[in-house]
Amino acid sequence: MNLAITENENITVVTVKEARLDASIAPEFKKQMEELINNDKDKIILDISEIGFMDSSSLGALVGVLKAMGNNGKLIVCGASGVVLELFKLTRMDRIFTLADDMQAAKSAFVAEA
Amino acid sequence: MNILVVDDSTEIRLIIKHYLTKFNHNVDLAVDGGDAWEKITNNEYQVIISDWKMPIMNGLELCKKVRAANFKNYIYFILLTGMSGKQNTLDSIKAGIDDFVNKPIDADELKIRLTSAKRVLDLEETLERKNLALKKINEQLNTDLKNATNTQISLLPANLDSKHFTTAWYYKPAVFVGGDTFNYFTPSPDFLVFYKIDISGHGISAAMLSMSLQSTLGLKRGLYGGPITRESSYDLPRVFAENLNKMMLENNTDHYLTMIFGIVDIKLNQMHYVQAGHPHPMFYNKEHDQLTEIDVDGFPIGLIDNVEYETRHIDYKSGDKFVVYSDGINEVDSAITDKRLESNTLYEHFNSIRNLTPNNMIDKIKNTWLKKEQLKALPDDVSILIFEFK
Repeated sequence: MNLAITENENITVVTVKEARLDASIAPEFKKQMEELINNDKDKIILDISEIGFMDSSSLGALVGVLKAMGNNGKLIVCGASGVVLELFKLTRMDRIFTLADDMQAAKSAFVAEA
Repeated sequence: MNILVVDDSTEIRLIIKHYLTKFNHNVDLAVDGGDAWEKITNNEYQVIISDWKMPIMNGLELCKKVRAANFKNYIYFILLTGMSGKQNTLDSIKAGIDDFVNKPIDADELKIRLTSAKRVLDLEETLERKNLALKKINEQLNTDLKNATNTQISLLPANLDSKHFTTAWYYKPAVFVGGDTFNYFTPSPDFLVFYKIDISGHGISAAMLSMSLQSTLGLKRGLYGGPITRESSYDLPRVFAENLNKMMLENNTDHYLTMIFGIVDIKLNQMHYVQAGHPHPMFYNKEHDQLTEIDVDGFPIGLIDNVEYETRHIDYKSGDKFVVYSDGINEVDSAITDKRLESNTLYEHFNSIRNLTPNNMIDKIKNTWLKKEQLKALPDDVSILIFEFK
């Protein structure tokens, strides 16, 4: 499980450096994300543009992360495409998550809020 | 240790025997490779100490033969050598030699080499013991899982061939047992209820939940919101999905599920169904000879609180078909085109068999779409259920 984490102007950008997000790494992914949230990171952009495949376990983990964030902050998922985006639509998760096409759109979503 | 000493020189045999006996080992002697081989096959030695140059079979040949025979216990092979040089050493190690003792024989050196032999043999024995134990556990687990698969498959419904429907299905779990399940039954002569479910994740934990659901989803469990009537059936799928969503979230498992749940009104030739995150079903219209992917999205069950589900309706005629499948097939490459069985590729595959009977469709899928080697190690459960209306 490889996450690249950078922080800029109170926004935490987490880039998933994996081609597949599946059952073998989903629990570790969830754990690391929850740690960030527990450390009061309340503006998180999750960049999943490098992920080419996501299975049901990882979708469950993502929802877990969203629930962990709750009302204490905001999570924007950016860069979903291809079958990953299809999965979000098929399961209507595109209505549960705030999705952004790319990093710029994700950042401006936070700026617009502030 | 039981040690065989092989040397064509009587003198060296006796010197080594003298030392080894002093170190409390049991010693046999052989005069050449041939003699040694006979003794090795009839006795159990832990260590062989052999000369290199001998008539009939030299030390390296003897060692190769011992290694090739693959005896139950590892035999530690020490080569007596007056020869030096990198190439000789490399050739010996390649042949399977474990260690060397220089000539002339030095008692202290011999003792130390044998201590090293004992250490390696002890390690070898411990490993062997652990491997055997693991192998036994592994065999038990495999048998258990295979039995569990049979139990699971035996609980799936038989193919239906009634006045109103024909069904056929394919089910292949990823790791013996699977998280996919489905069922259909007739609660009254006018209706057929069906569901197809994919529990998130796969393996034993998903399978246990899928087995428990198989009994929970029956009629008398409160999920249907009361008796099934023509009036209630119209929106039953939504009610069912919302109740199940609530139940799953209350149970607080780590799993959620995707589902197609439907009820067919046999009198009205109408099907009401709900999609909950399950892949888009396909509908075959016989009149227009057309297969359509139904573009319907819905929330999975047990993931998000208080979400709304929507009942969809289809009017069908005799000869129409309804195909539901789980997303496991999307991770498999087609044996026909070598492309992933997803999106358009999957549609084209189904489209090419749309005219067949459900049974023949399943046969085609089983025998021509899926590669034998992939079936042995599927990344996710593959299940497909086909209805034909009459």
